[in-house]
Amino acid sequence: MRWLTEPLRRLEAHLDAWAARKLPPDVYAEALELDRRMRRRPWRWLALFVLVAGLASLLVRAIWPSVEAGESLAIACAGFVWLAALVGAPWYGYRKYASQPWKRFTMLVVLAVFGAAVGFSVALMQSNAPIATMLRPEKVTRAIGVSLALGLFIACVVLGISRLRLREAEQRSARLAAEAESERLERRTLEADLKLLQAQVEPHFLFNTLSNVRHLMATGSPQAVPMLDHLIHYLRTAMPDIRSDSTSLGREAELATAYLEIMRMRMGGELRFSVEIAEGLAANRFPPLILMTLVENAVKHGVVPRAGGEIRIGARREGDRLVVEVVDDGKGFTGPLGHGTGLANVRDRLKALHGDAARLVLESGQRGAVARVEIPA
Amino acid sequence: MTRAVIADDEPLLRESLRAALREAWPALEIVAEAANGAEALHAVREHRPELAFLDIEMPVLTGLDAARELKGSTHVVFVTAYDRYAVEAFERGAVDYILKPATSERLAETAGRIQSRLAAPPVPVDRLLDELARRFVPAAPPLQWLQASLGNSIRLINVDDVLFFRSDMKYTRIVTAEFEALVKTPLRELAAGLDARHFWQVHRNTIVNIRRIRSVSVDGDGRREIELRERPERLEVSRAFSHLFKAS
Repeated sequence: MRWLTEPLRRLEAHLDAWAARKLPPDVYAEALELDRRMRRRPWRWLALFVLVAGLASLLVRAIWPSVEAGESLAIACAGFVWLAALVGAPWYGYRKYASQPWKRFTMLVVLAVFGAAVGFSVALMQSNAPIATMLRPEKVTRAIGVSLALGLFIACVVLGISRLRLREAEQRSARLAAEAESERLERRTLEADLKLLQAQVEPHFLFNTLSNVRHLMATGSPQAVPMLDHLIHYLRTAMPDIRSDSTSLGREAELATAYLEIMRMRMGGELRFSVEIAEGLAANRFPPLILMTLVENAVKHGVVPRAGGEIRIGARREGDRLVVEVVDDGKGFTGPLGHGTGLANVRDRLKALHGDAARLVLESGQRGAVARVEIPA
Repeated sequence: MTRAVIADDEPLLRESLRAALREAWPALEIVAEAANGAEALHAVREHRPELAFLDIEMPVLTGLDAARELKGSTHVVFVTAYDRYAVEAFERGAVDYILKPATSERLAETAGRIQSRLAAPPVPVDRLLDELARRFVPAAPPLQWLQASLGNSIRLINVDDVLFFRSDMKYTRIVTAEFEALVKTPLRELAAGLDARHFWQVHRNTIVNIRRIRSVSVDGDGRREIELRERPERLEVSRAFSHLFKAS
């Protein structure tokens, strides 16, 4: 049997390579899946084919009793292959057909008419009837009409299938993209949750502050106790409650205030700040870590490099939105940026919690940087 | 008499270190204080002390960068509040360091060790600094934020929000769903920093965010055009890049 199987196997490999080259990867994978499924129970598919072909040939004989049995089977098999091509071509090549529908439409109709003309000519040559009777006008018109109708039918089927397939593929890719995006956001949120613990009580901040307190105590400074109080207040507020997605705006502002108080003392009073939360907004829900990240950034990039400066925190309602702003009077977003992972985390958390309804706007104007968070109130 | 410079951006911590050193090492003379790395460099060049105490986290120039600049012209003692990795590296590199807040006993011990090392030339710190730099600055991740001018202000734009980039003379136009802005970086330079999985160059002058593409159409001559989700513009795909959108 090898003389038969070997060339077949090679032919299949060639066809396979050709399909892999011609088809886009997702469609090729689909075709492979069909192939795999058919290979699993080849006998069943063969039996199905024989059954359908037999029934179809019976049908052909019922319609045209003059046709012989062998001929009718051949017609049925040809019809079967033809039907497979009619469905298969747009099924796998839907991008090609759907991308230039009118061109393909015209091509299919013209092909059908041309095919009919060829068939007609062959019949003409084979027929014993005199040419004059074959070329009677009503006969020719009928042939053209039938072939046109057939062409239109084929074109509609092919384009209809390719259209449906294209829409299905678009929906699938949109769904996949959405899934990938939400998965990414979920992962980022988890990472951010874990970082919450580290970020809110950053060891550098803690030990540097303790060093300050220690020195103030050692020198008997009256500032020692206030600084320790601010630190205690900060730690109490910062103890993270990572089970909840949001704390209140008031609590976040309190944390930022304690942090800024400590930084002001550490910088020898050169840091000025103000916190203005519009009335009634303090109880509003607000995601944790976000305001602190913005304030830390403002201190790190806006104030520390100049050994002094001013930071203003403001919260107000604008229509149905809650707008929270952190403004400094430093150099703004000029010069090289850090990795910006803190800010990227803020953006991702906002997106995970509020989708497109939330925004993070980072801007620097004539003086200083403005970081603005907008969420639905 | 040994002379030293102290550098820390926090005034109280400079004072604290000065007081602690006075107790643990009375013979040490502090000749200058600095509030950042650049000032520290200046002070060392001016006073030529035997010792420099450098805080690691300082603005303008970090303690690590300052030490690199000093090129072994003085003994360096790093000061840090908390850095497990740095401390490990210091131990291995036989470099002196002080942990904040420093207790007198601990500082006295460190002072003794430093004094015994002063006779020898300063330990070269370059290799150690390279190692630390690698740890602190991991391989550059893909570009996350862009600085773009919008009117007379500068805005930070996250690259994920950008639909496409188009070069415009020596500037690059950034187009998002909401607005357009300009950056001074040429397109070629931007392309190098972008995540190649999501940003494809489709034309000599265009890079598109493929997650924002609605569809790609092909006309009779095989020219491809990109339609976006949130903008009406259609982007041309030039022949050189059309292989990206494989025909079917």
